[in-house]
Amino acid sequence: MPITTALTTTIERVSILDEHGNFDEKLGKGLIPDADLLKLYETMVTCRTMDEVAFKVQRSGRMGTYPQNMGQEANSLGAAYALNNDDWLVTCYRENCGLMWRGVPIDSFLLHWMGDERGNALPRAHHATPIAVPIGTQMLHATGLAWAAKYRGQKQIACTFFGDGATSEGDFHEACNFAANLDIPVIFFCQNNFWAISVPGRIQCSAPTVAQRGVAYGMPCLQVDGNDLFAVVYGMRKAIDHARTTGKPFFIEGVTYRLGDHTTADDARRYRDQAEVDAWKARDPIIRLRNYMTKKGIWSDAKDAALREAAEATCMATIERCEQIEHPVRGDVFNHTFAELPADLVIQRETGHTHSLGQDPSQLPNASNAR
Amino acid sequence: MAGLKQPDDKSHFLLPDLGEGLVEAELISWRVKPGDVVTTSSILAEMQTDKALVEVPSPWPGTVSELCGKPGDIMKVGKPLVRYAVAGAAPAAAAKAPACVSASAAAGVPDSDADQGTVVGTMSGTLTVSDRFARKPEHASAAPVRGKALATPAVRRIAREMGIDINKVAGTGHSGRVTASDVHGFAGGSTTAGFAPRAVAAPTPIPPVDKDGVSQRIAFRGVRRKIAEALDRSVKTAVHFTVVDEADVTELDRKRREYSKVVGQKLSMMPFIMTAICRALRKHPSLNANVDDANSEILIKGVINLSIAVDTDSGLMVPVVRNADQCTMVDLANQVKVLAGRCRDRTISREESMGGTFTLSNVGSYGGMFATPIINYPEVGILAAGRTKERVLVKDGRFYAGLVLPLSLSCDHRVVDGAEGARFLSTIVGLLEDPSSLL
Amino acid sequence: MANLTLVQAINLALIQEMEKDDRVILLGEDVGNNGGVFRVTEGLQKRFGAHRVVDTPLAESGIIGTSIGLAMAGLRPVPEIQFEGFLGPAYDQICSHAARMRTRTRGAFTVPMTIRVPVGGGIHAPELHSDSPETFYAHQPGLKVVMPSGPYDAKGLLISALRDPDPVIFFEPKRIYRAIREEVPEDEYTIPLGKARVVCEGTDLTVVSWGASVIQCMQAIEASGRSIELIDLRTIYPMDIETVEQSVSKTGRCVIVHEAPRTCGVGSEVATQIMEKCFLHLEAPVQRVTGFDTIMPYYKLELEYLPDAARIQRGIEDCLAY
Repeated sequence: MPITTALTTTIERVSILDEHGNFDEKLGKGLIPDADLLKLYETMVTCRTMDEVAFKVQRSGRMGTYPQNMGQEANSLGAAYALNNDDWLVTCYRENCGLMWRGVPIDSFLLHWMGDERGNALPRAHHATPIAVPIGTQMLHATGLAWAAKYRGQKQIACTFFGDGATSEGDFHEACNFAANLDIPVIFFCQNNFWAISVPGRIQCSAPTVAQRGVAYGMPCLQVDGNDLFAVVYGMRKAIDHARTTGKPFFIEGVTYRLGDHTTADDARRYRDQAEVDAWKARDPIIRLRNYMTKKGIWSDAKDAALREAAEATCMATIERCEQIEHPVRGDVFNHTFAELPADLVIQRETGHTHSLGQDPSQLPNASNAR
Repeated sequence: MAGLKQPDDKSHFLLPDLGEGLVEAELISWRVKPGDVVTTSSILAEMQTDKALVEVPSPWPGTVSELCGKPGDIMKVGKPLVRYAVAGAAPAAAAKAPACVSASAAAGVPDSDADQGTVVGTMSGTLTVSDRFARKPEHASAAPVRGKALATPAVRRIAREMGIDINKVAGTGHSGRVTASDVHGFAGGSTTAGFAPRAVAAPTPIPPVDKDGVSQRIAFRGVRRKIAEALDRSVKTAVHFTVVDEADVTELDRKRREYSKVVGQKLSMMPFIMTAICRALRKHPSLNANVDDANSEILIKGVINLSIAVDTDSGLMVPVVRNADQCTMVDLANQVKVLAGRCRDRTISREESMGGTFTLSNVGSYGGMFATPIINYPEVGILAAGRTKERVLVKDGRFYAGLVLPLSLSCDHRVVDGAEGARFLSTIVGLLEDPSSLL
Repeated sequence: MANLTLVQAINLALIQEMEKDDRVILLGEDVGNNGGVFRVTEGLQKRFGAHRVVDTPLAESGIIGTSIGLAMAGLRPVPEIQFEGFLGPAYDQICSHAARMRTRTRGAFTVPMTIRVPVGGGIHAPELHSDSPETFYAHQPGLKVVMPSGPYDAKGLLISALRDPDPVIFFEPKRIYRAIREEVPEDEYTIPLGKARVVCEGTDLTVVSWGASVIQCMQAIEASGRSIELIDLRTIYPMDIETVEQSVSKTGRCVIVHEAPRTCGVGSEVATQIMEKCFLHLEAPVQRVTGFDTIMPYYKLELEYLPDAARIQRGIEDCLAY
C-alpha cells in the first residue's frame, strides 16, 4: 500500500523588532505599553551594568566565579513580564534579568557567587527557584512544581529556562516527556545562545532548530528572536495561553547569543571568532530597544546616560552591601542539613571534631588536656 | 517565699521554699519519671537544702510529663520542678493514639496468595521464627553486667598471654581501667626474662596523676558545699578568738564507769561534758546566745539547745539536742546517738539542725589535743573536746597517773569578751574536775 | 489485630496516611493500574484516584526530579523506584538536589519526600534486581535511610518517614515481602526514625543487622544455643549507635551482618563506632558477616553469596572463641 504521511510539522519563527530597527506594526502594536517599556529597558540596563560591575569585582578577587548574562537579557525579561507573579520561574543562571523583574534582589545572585548560601534563601513570594548549577536537572523540578499546582486545582504554571547544552542531558528529555504525557503546564524555554562553554550548539543539537525538540513530545513549539523583547513577549503570551487553557506544556526557543565568556573563569577568545561576536553585538537587545524608544521619542541620550549612572550606583551599593554582610558561622554548615539535627551532627557541630576522643574528652586519661 | 502561687491549670509545679528563706536547692535524685501517675503522697524528688535532705511530694495528683532538671542541678525556688500532662493534651509519646481506621482499610489489604505479586523472580516459602524473638513491650535495657574489667585490647592480650583472667585484676588506670602493670602486678612480680626474681613487697599503688598532679577531681557539691558556705559565713562574720585549757578528768572517768554500770548502758564522756556545758551556760548566759546581724541584735537565749557536731561521709553535720539542760545523762547519750544515726543515713530533718544556742564538737574521738573550732553561726560559742590522754599529773606536790581532757573554746568576740570566755572555760573545767557537782 | 505480611503492612500504612493527609501522592512505574510489580500499591489507585496514584513514564531520574518539584511545592510525594538496581539514574537528583535543597536554600525550599525501593537478594531475579546499595545513600549528608526487617516495624517506620520533613529512602527487603507475617495493629502508630530495636537480649555477644538478614541472624542465634543479643538497626542513618554501644559494652563482642559487599558497607561504619565507643569493653575484634566483594551473582549462585544462617553462626562462634 502507498506510504502515507504520519506527521508534517512546521516550526514558526517570530521577529517583531529586528536589529535594523524595523518594527512589525501588526504583531507588535499595543504589545507592550510605553510605560512598561521604559521600566523593562531600565531593568535590562541594570542587569547589564551588574554584569559589568560583577566582572570587575571578580577580577579584583572579591567574588568567586561569575557567569555573565550579557546579550541574553531579553529572553528571561520578556518571559517574566508576560507571566503572572505567582507563576514559577525555574532558572539556571543566565536569567538574572527576568528574576530582577520578578523582584528578586540583586544581592541574592551576588551572594550565591560570593560563596554564601544565604543568597539562595529566596522568599516563597517570588516563586523563583535558586540558581541551578548541575546542567539540565532543574526542568524536572519545574515539572513537579507545575504538577503540584495542577494537583491543587490552581492556575499557576511553571516556566523553566535552560541552554542549548542542557537539551543534551537526559533529564531534559525526561522533564519534557513527563510534562507532555502527564499533561503538566510547563513552558520549556530554551535560551539557545550557541555555546556551551567552548562547545558549539551544533554538537548539542544538529537539527535545524532547537525548537523542534518539542515536536518529539507532541508539544507546540515556537522559535523567537531572543534578542527582540517584543518577539519574546509575543511568543510567551502564546505559550502561557496554551499552558493555562489546555494545562499542557509548550516549547519555546529564544535565539540569542552569549556575548561574554561562559564565566569569569573562561576565555572565549580561545575557541570563537571575534567576527562572530561582533556580528552579534550588533544584535544586542539593549541597543535595539534603545534605538526604538529614542526613535519613538520616549527616550534620549541624556536619559540613557543618567540611567547608566544610576544603575552603576545601585550596583556598586549592592556590592558593598553584600561585602559587608557578616560572615556566616560554622554552625551554618550543620544547621540546615535536616529540619532537626540528629545527635551525631549536634556533637560534630558543638565539638568541632569528628574524632571520637575529641568529641568525648572524658575518655582521655588527662582530662586537663580537654579543649 | 511564702505563698508561692502555683499555676491554676496545674500544668507545672514551681519549686517552693523548702525551709526558711530558701532560694535554691540541689536536686539529688528523681523518684519519678515522665509518664508516671502520681498522687499527693508520691515523692517527686530528693533535694538537698542546707544540711537536710528533703523529699518533695507532688502537690496534686496527675501524670508527670517532664522533669525540669537532672541530678546535680541547682534548682531555683519559684521555677518549675516538674511538668504535668494537662487534661485534654496528648500524653507522652509512649501512648498509642487510636485512629479511626475504617474496617474497609483492613478489607482492602490484598491477601493474594494465588497472585505471586511479582513480575520478576519468585518468592518461595514462609519464614518462621521462634517465640524467643516475639515482640515484647519496649523497656529500658538491663543494667550493665558488673564485674567485667575495662581494658584496652593491648592489655587484654597481655593478660591472655599470661593466662590471667583479666576480670579478676583490679584496675588502677583512668576510669578504673586495668593497665599492663596491673596485670603484671597481679601475676606477682616481674615476668621479664633475664631478671632474677626479687622478694619485694608489692608497692602500694600510687594513684595515677595528670600533669598538675591531680589524681581525682571531685565536684564541689551537695552537703560539702553547703557546709563550706556556712563555715565561710561564720568566719567572715563572727570575730573568732580561742582559749584553751585542760581538765583533769581522772575522777570523772571513774564516776562515768560507775554510772554506766548503774544505768546499764555504756556512757562516754560526752553526756558529762554536755551537762557541764549546760551548767556553765546558766552561769555565763552571754555565751548561750545567737547573733542577729541583720537586725544588729544579740539574742540571749533562755533555752539551752546544744548543737552536737557529727562527722558523716557527706561531711560535718550539727544536729541539735533541745533543752539539753533538762535532760538526764542517759537522755543526752541516747539523743546524741539517735541524732548521729539520722545524720549518717541522711534522714535528719532541717528542723533538727536548727535553733542551737551553743555547740560541742568532740574531736577527741579522732585524735588531737587543742583546736581552733569555728563557731556554728549564728551561735556565739563552740567548745571542742580533744582526746583524753593518760598523763603524769601533779597534785599537792604528788605525782599520779591521770586522765587529761583538752578543751578549746572559740567565741565571737563581738559578743563575748576574752575574759568572759576564759571564765566560762574555767567554769567548765571546774565542773569536770569535780564530778559530784555534775551529778 | 491482623497478621500481616510486609506487603500488606506497607499497603495499610499508605492507605492510612493518604486518607489522613491529602498532600501524599504516589508515583512510579506500574504503581497505579497494576498496583506495583510486588502489588504493594494494590488497590490504591482505585481508592484514591489516578491523580494521586500516578503511573509515570519509564524514567527514574524523571520520577525523582518531578517528586523533588512536588515536594518543593509543599506536597508529600512518595515515588517508587521499582528495584534498587535502578536507583542509578536517579542518583544525581537524589544527591545533587534532594539531599541539598534545604541547606542550599537555608531552609527556604525543602524536600519532604519518601522514596520507596525494594532491596536485596534472594528472589531468584535477573541481574540488578538483588543488590543492597544502602551505603551509598547513608554516605550522602542530607538523606535519611531506613530499612525495616518486618511488617510491624515497616508500618510504623513508613508512617514516620512520610511525616518526616526531609528526604527519606525507605528500603523494603523484597525477600521477606510475603515470607513472614506479624501482628500489625490496625490503629495508627509510629516508630521513630533513628531508633534501633533490641530483638532479644543476651550476655555473651551482640549481633547487629538490618533488613532481611535479621531473620537469618535469628536462625543463627537459635542454632548456636548461646546467650546472644540481637539488635535490628531499623534506621541506617541517623543510626542509633547508643543502643549498640550499650549492648556491646555489656557483651564485649559483636558480629555485624549485612547483604551488601563488605568493603565500605555500613558494617564498617558500625564497627568503627563500636571500636571508638566500646574500646575498653571489647574482648574480641568486631566481626562483619557480609556479601563478598564481588558483583551479586545471577540466581544460580545467589545463595552462595548471601550471608546465610550457617555463615552467620560461624562468625558468632569464631567471635565467641576468640
